[in-house]
Amino acid sequence: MRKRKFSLSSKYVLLLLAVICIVLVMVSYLTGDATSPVNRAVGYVIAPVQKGIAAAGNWLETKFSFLQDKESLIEENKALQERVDELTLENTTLKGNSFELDRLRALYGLDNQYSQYPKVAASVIGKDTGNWFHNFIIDKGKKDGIEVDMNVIASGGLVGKIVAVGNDWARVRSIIDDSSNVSAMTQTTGDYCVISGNLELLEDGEITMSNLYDTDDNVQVGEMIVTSNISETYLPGLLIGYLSEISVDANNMTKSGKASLVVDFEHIREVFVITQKKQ
Amino acid sequence: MKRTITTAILIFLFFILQSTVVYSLSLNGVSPNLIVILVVSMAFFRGKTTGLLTGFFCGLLNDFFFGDILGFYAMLYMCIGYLCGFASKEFYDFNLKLPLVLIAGADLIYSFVVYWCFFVMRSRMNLWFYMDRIILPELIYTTAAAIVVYRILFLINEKLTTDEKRRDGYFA
Repeated sequence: MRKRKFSLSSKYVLLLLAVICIVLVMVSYLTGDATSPVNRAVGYVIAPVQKGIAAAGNWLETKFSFLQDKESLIEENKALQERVDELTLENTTLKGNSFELDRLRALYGLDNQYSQYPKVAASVIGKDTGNWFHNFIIDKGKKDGIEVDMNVIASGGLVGKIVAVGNDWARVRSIIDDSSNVSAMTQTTGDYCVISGNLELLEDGEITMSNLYDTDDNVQVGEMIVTSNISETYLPGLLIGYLSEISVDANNMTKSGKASLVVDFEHIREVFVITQKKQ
Repeated sequence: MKRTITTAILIFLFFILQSTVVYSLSLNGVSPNLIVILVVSMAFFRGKTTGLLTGFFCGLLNDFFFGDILGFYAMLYMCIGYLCGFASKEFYDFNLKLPLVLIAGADLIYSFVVYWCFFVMRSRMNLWFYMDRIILPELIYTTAAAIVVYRILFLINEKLTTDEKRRDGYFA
């Protein structure tokens, strides 16, 4: 054997790094946000690569779809043509209904909430490395005016909020993450409740609803659940989901149940960050 | 030197793959854990020190991006790397059985520690559900992925070893 360059025993390396880890854990516990400076520095290297790979992945996916059988495409085209005819008919009826909806909306004093907030579009470039949590990385950051605690939405519903931000990337914690809690309320009756992510319900596209005060039994299954106006970080009126199950708790005062989500969290590619923060 | 650079590149590459492409390979919401494969393989090829260093840096990278507590994953992967280092050298061979068992074991330890620290601590006690839904599928998927990934890492290591031997031969 040639002589080793340095002969620090693995035990000492382990000990040394373990001490570093413990110090890091304690520091991040005490300060809450110790990671951000280093975080940002590492992000400079990683985020662009992630962005490239995510783009390559998307490109490959579209290429693969080109390779599809010609026959099946022709068939699909035929089916789609029929669908178009069907939908045109349906559209005409819906247009009529839309007038009615506008009128009723005005009557109820509801307006289209989302359009009034300033938004930034962002693409998802990375997801959590494990199977336990639901965080993801987007390709916009401080440079685009994104800050911690800003709300993130997609396809008409709440996705989550920004928890860490770098120069040109940011980390979003989804509302389906097992550790996420959102203060919410029912749309029509305005009763407050808490929406929390739960891995056990996720498979069915659902989320836990709890602490609902509804002594008059006004809240029904199918009720729209939106973010509440008393939430600290979430803007009011963002759609979360629809109540799918409700039952009275053992304490006989509050109710809990489940809500089905409106956003398809499995296939999030594009999101909108609302660049207005709750005051 | 060449080896250090290669290992650093592998750590970056595996982390980036894990956070981007691997996700689209997920079956029923579960994706394989490539980082465990890398850490265990490195420990198996090169021993305890390399194992724990690889684990430490992989974990640290994960902490910066996805962790809420800096140092948690660094510690976890480091311990995995160190423990797997005990099995290196004597058994080192192009034999898949032992590394696969090690990878499966390491993935199980990883899952249990994460489950314990982040789920049991918030009184999510339904262990059977998590076993059935995440821990076992991830274990199987990771081991299956390891059959391919371990071989690739093995070949890279062989190449580096022959290069080093040749270089040593020239200068000895």
